[in-house]
Amino acid sequence: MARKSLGDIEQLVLLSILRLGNETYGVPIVEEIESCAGRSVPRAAVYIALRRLRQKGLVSSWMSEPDPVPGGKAKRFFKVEPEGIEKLAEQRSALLSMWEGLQPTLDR
Amino acid sequence: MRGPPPARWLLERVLPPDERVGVVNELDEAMDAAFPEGGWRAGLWYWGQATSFALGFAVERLRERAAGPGSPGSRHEEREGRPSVRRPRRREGWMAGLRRDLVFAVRTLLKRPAFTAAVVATLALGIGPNTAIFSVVNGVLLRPLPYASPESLALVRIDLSGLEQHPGIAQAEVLDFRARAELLEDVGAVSREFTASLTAEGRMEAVLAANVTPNLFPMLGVSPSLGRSFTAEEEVPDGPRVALISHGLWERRFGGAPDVVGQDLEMNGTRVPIVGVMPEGFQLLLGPGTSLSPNIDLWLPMQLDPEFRDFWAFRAIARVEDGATIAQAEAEIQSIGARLVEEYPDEYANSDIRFYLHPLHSDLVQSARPAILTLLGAVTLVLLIACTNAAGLLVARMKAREKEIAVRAALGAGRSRIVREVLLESLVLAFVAGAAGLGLGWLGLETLLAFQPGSLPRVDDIVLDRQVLLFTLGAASLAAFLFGMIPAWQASKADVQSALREGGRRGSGGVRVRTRNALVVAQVAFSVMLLIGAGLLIRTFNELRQVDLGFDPEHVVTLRAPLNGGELEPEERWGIYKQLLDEVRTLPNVAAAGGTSIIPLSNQGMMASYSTDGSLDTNWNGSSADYRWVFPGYFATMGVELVAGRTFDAGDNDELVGRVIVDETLAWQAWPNGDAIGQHFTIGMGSALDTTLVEVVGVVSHSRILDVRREVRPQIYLPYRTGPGGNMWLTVRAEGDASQVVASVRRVAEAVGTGRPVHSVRSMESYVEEAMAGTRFTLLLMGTLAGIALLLSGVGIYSVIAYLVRERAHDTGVRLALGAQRVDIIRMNVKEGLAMAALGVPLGLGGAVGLSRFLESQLFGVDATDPVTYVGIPLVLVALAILASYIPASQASKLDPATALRDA
Repeated sequence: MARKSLGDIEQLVLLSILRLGNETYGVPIVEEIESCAGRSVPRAAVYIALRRLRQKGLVSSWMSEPDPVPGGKAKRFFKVEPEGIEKLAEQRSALLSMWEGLQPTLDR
Repeated sequence: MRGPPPARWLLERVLPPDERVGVVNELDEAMDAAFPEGGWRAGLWYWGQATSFALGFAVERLRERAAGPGSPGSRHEEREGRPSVRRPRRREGWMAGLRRDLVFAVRTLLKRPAFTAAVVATLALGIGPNTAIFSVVNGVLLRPLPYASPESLALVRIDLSGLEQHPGIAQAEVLDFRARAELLEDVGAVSREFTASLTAEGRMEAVLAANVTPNLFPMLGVSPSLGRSFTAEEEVPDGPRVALISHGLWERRFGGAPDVVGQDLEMNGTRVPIVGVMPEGFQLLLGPGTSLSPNIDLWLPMQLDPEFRDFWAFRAIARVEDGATIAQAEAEIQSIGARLVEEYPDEYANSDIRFYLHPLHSDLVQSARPAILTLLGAVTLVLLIACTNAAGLLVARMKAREKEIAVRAALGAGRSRIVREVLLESLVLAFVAGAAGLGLGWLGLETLLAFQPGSLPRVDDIVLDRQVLLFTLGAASLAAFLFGMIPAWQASKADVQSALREGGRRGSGGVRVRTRNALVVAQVAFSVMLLIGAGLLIRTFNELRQVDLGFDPEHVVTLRAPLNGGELEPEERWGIYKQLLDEVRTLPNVAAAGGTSIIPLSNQGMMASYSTDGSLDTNWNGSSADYRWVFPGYFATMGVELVAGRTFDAGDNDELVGRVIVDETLAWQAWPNGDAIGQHFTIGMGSALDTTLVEVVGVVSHSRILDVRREVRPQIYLPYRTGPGGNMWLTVRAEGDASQVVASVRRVAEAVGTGRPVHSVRSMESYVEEAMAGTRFTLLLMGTLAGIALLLSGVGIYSVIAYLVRERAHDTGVRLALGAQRVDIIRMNVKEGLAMAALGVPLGLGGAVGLSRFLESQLFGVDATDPVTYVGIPLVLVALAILASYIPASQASKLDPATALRDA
């Protein structure tokens, strides 16, 4: 069964988890997308993307212990699974092969 | 920092269980990062996030369910290993169909963001104020008082010698009711508030204190959070003096130290042991006129004297026995009262005393209730206006979708299915608007509480809680029903054939336009009702500002200058005060200085009875008058006009003979021939056997010292020396800014050695402002609501005319081509707008007359059917109708006939 390709935000989310050392939670992910991709994405959209990625088995997640400070809170951490990396690579090579040979067209 | 509780509640309800904790915690963190200072911006940001999360996840969950078994995230996948059977679509349940329709409705709405935003904004403007005002209704009027079984608690009030519903009884009567009333489980009492000076580590602080009977707190079901309550032996005369302190004072003065119980408090120069600390947030909430602040810091045991029968100054709270009603208990104490009058003929001679029991809660809120209910009525009108406006927008949209619906009907979509879709759309809109309205209501409530006049009881109980959320949910559902019904009904009647044939251009446009017109007429009518309410309040406030107070509060500053108590002889006290006044008068920028025992308009008063024919052998046997002691210079300072005779001089105080000054009202009532000066009469103050013969030396104009709105009682002023008090107020008139003299007066008071700190420094104007604050606050809220109503009605009229203009572009093109002038086109369209106003205004006026009697109690100096308001407001609406229809009309007049004919 051919699996559906990743959505735009899903890709951004996967990439930023990897950029952040492949073990991180929602707040830094949103910041990373904003600072690195220069895009402002609705916070809710990022969390929904995380949920879908989790359901597709591309990321795994677990609740952390509360932060060891007064009033510290538990967070949901995410890690990209090998399937997720594979999917990203797949999509990247698909895009790159589509780009091949187009440079002259763009430069014109 | 955490987000606003209602927003968190919303999130927790909407998020899937496995996402809840993470999202809620992380949103808090993100808010901290974005708004380290917190404040309303942080709250607003959080509301925005919560709404977007709620919407996003609601749609996501619907998507997951609609995607069906086997798809990621469906329930089947989560329950691993269970084989899933895919059922044929046709046999899917009613719920699944509903879900699909819901997803469809959300998608349809998202496709037209401008329309969706317009409807949501309109409805949120209607729901937000309802949320805010309902929070007030809920906290003040609905929520039970924070005591054990509050419904069986009642306050005793009495009628006495022309005094009505006075909230005080005598100490002996408290004991009588306890002993004799079988329907009363217990009776407790509390004194008025008074100020006590606390000294610790050389620092003095004035705090509010009150005396309570030891049984009062247990009766209310309140026990100290630390230490013990008072005991029965502390109630008897000359019993031990101990103190309970408030949680606030405990934290402020003792740093919350757990060993505070047993320590001594130095109060007014004597040492009193602390026996306990009251729980945090505890307030003794009593109604108007009881002179008991909710913020008492120091509680002392009241020592009841069975001989003390003729000083009706103690507020009594009774608990009615289980199974008895307050009305039954009231009948019982009235018959006990009648027996007391027979048993003690001297004390009760001609007093006409009559006892009443008022449920504690309704007594507390009675003065705030009319204003709150008026505002509730006003926000309901705003919600109705918002609903009609949203219905208008939806009806217009139905017109645009006519063809789409007709096609679907032709392809076999059932009528009920289409109606359900339209209703679902309304429901989705209403819920999104409900969430936005909740945010708006939260903001509104914060603003409202920041500006509340101080006379609102139970302010601390006003919060956005579960009840308020349920109310908002209810208001949103009601709104959905109200504004969704009309378009749904129209969809159900859609005529497939003609819609398809005519290409949707004319169709049932006539009916639709009529429906929209009717909706706008209704809006105009509701707006007129609301605006008239606001207009009447504006007139009331103006009238209040015009009232001749009988004194001039400008440039007068008041401050309390207590003397260090008990050990001073009366002439020593007068000596200190006299020196203080003399020195204050020599200060720069001081024009005049005087003083009084009670500040005007401070909700305090003392009552005396008086008689001019010598018949006053006991108290309460004459006419009643307000009395207060004043220092020489009081009348000049306050700008009270001397009508006849003279004002007090120092001699009146030195000689200690009974000379008084009366106001014009008393002079006119007692000596109609105008020869009051030099007359003698008897006054009785406080105790029955304590009557004094006095001589009138002066007559002054009447001052509104008890109530800005009306003359309450005639007034008697006595020279300070005849009074017992060492707790006088100074009144100082400054040249220019009154606040500049405060520091120097303070220094003088310290130098003269009053022994206790000067406190409660306030401008006289602030007392006058405060007396009008309730009216101003109601006016402010009504004005805001009227503004929203005007905005919504304006938008309503505008959108109908704009819609008509679009519809008629073809006709207009023909007219212009045939030589019609632009002004004709404008006139034609503005006339339509005016016609709607012309229908709506009379309807609104009728409604306003019907509702005006509810407003009557809050008006002053203006009739509830005030002609100025009833003529002025319609003019405002007519102007609005002209403006709102002129804008699209002038656009229509600028049509290029050729384009119009080609495109239409």
